[in-house]
Amino acid sequence: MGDMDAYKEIFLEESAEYLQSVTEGLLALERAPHDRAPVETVFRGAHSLKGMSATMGYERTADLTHRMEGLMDRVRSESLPVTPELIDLMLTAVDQVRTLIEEESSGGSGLDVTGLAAALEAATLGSGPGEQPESAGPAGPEPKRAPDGGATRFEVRVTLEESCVLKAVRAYMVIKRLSHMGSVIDTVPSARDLEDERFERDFAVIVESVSTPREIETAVLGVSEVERTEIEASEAAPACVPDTSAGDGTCAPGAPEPDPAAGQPSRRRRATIPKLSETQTVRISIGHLDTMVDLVGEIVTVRARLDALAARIDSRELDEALEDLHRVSGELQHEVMLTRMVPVGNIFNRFPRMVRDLARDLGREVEFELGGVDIELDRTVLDEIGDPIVHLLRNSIDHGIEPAAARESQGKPGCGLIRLEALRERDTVRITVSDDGKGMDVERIWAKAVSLGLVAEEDRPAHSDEDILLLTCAPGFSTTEEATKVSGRGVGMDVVKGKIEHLGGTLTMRSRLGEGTSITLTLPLTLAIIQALLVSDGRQRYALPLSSVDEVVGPRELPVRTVDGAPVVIVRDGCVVPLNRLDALMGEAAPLAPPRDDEHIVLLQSGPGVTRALTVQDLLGRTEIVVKPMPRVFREIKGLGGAAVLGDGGMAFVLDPRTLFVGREEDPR
Amino acid sequence: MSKTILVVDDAAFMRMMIRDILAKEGYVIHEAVNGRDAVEKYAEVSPDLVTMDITMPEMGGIEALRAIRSADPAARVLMVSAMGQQRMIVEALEAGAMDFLVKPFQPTKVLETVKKCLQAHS
Repeated sequence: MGDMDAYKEIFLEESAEYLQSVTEGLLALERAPHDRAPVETVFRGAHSLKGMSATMGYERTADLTHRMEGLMDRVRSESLPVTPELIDLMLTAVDQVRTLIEEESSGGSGLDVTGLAAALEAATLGSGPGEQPESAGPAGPEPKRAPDGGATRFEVRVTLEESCVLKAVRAYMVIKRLSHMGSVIDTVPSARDLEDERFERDFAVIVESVSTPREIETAVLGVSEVERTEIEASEAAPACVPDTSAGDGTCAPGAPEPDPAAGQPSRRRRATIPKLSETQTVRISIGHLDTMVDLVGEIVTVRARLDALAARIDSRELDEALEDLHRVSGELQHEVMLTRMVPVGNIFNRFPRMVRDLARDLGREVEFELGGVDIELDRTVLDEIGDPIVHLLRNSIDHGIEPAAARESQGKPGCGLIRLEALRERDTVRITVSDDGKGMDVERIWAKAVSLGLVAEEDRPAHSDEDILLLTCAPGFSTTEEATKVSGRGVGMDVVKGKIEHLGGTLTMRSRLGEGTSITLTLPLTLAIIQALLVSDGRQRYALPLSSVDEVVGPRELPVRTVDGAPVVIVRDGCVVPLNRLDALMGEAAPLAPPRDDEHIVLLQSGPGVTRALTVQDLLGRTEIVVKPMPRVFREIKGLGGAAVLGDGGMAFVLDPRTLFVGREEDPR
Repeated sequence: MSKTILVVDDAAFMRMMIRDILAKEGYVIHEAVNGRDAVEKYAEVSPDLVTMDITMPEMGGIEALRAIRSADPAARVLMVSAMGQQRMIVEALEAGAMDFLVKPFQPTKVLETVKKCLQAHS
């Protein structure tokens, strides 16, 4: 059995995925008992699990999944109806299989599943036999429509420019244009390969059209980044017979591996416009990805060093080579970052089951909505935010959504709504958990915070409602007097907030009494490499993340005034923005000095909708930096987010605009 | 007569860059800082072309594209996107965008694409 250990990791990972899809299928079936698709999903999942676990020698898992498969087979053949009891039984079985796999993979035994096995058996035998023919499988080959009257079949070969980015979209634009001129019959490589960008620079489209070759050529060349195109009329093949002229990818010079399925009739249907949705995947250990990020980081640093060198040596050839290096390393960096991006759906998809079970335990009616599941986030970030989101969802169900009767008496629908949504904004992803429950009582939170000594009673006017809501994230704060079964797991809002901030993110809360609460986690899209503006305070170089830089202006371009002895600038839309000196923030100058003529003002976003201005002495340009964690001794310094090695081998501190101004100025109001 | 272009981006930095590239070639540049602003400015100056960032606060580029195209079906809009927004680009093309540019871009490519958009039949 020792040799099976090599497969254990992938078995565990994949079986978890199957359990997930079975769960999703069951939940879908619970909502729509007559839907056939989820029945297939659940059946297939149980079937695959059976085969996998038998291969691993996990006999008890294999037995239980075999029984699940058997039960679903009866449902599939429509000899058993989908009932709430059946869903519950299957969900219980999913849980037990999960536990069994843990047990059998670690060599343990102890879980007794005989009762469950018997229940599955009984359910399977439930109602009398009555085998019905299986529902029709996937649609068979569709006959290809005969060419429209007078249309000629063309083979349109297209070559994209070498520098083309997003080749798949360019191919899509070409195909879309051709589809306006006639019927697109096929593509080489296949539509799937085109949309996954599995081709070099060449592809071919078979189109039937009444247009002339010249018209087609003009249309194709009208798409940007198309280098050239060749159009050849091929004899129109009779309908329903595979088109030999396009067979096996031979017509496209330089096209990669032909799609093995390309010759099958079912793939040769019309309307092959790529749907940019499906992707094929391979599994890579996250360790490799981490190493790749580090290595790319080093390439970026070396590249910057070469740039500095090239600036001193005036060589056209060197400049050109460097330009190529920039392009290639930029693409490499982008690709590596992409490989680390995972759709948030990967963790979101386990929540519907959790919300359902929890709502049931607490006797709440809850509808749960997911949004933005396709939004992608760096894997490391995503792995870390699962627990915080679980906590927020628990809070919503336990403390947010009221019992149905209480809701109805307030004129709300008896069924509460919880929404989990991801949204991309600039270089960040915002994840929001919102509910339409009872909301949070700002005054009660304030009173509690005062009694805990977190704030002083008389400071009330200086606190906005949002500030007060955030007091619930203080360690030891809890407004429900006793921890309930659900929320009392030792994870508090303080842990949630701490974790998000550790990831370089922020947590914000909004709530209206009686209407609901919404908590937003704003997280960085990726780690490690960022675009930065290099500045200097005259002594030391600093890097400002470009994503937070709004504008750079000279000191005379915007009016500088003094309000209560502190300098401010008036921005174009009339807003008054406090002006800080970078050298003062770093503790090396008098804070209130206005900018000198040779200095620059950088306008920054220091939080959502919060603009700050910073006086710097020199602008050293824009560059990409690899952010390294701060050396331990500097961690306590506010405003520094890390350090970066620059192209010339020197070092710069990376400024964190969100904390840079904290505590440095009076509240502007 | 020189053509007018409305440059839409929430990042002043990006607006400045595109403006510099285009102004050198004699185009007249107007700017908008988000989708909503773009829709208003479009009605005001009716530019020959719009360069539209995709991800913006207030109103995103695709929504603005739809609004502009429904007010003026002949509107020429060139999307400006970051890497990794393939799906959104396709959505924008479906909604009537003429072409797209991917950041970071070379000035020559910007000029080439802009020229192409201005020449094409709308």
